[in-house]
Amino acid sequence: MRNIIILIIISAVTFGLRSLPFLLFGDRPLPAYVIRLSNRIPVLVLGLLVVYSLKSTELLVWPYGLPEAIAITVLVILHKLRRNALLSITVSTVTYAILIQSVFR
Amino acid sequence: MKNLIKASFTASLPVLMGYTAVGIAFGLTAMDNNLTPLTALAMSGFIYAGSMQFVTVDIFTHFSGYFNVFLLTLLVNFRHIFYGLPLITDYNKAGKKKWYMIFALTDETYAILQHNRKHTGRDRVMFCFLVSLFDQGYWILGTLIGVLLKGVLPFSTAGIDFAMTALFIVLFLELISDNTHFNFGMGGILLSWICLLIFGTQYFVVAALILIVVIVSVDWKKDRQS
Repeated sequence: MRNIIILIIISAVTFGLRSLPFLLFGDRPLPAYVIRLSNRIPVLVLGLLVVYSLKSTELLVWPYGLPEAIAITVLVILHKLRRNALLSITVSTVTYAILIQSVFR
Repeated sequence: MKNLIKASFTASLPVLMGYTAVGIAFGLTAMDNNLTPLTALAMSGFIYAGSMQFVTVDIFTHFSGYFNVFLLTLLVNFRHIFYGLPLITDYNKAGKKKWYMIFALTDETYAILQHNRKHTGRDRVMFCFLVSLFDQGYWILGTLIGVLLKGVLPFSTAGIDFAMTALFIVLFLELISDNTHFNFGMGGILLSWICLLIFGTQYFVVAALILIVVIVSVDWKKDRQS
């Protein structure tokens, strides 16, 4: 029962956050400031999400974030060369998995 | 319609990779913490927020009051407030589908919809709906595989959650194609990292988001004055 209540709270809050802009602005035309926000925020938030997804990487203890650094380098170079999102993600993920399971274990 | 299904499936392919991988990781984590398969699947069906679901597993095992659950959800998912903004005009044309599409607006779906903007009018609405549907399908599929794989996997899956990082970086690279966005993007990484160092893993997202809004607002004011 407790788990069900927890599940409901988390689902409701998450949905509430996602629907807030729709409830605030509804059918009204967006103010110029909000349009600017929605143009600029995506790239900044993606930068934040990159950092967020790497937040548990320890830079001061072995292996000093090396597996992440190597996999990201592979990803960026491959993506510059081929521009194929799926290929970049697959190759870098496999690289990372191999690195932490064998080289840096 | 057939073309739209194809276009939205193709656009969602990176998420197929990322969500199946992380979904499997989530399913395995849930089982490791003695959750039932049904609870794990219900979480992917009704919460549908990657990082929050991992936090939820932790909440189930270390419960510290309902109000803390509420606060933790606000904190972890606060960034979702911004995802609807660029999509309001499109979603308002979606009729009954609108509320599902809002519910399904995750980090990755938002990023994919933001990146693929070639459709217009009703095609755009349908495209957004199909991408949302595909993405949650992958997430539930991954969760299911993870739940079923518990104990029978012939190799270690350690490290496959890097797919999520890779997905964010790829979407980031696609967005910084011009100078202005490059500067803002690098600024975003730098300020997030500084916030992480100062505020720690638990609070840095909120701090960084506030700073992001401040920076964009100051930049807007400057542009309006000149």
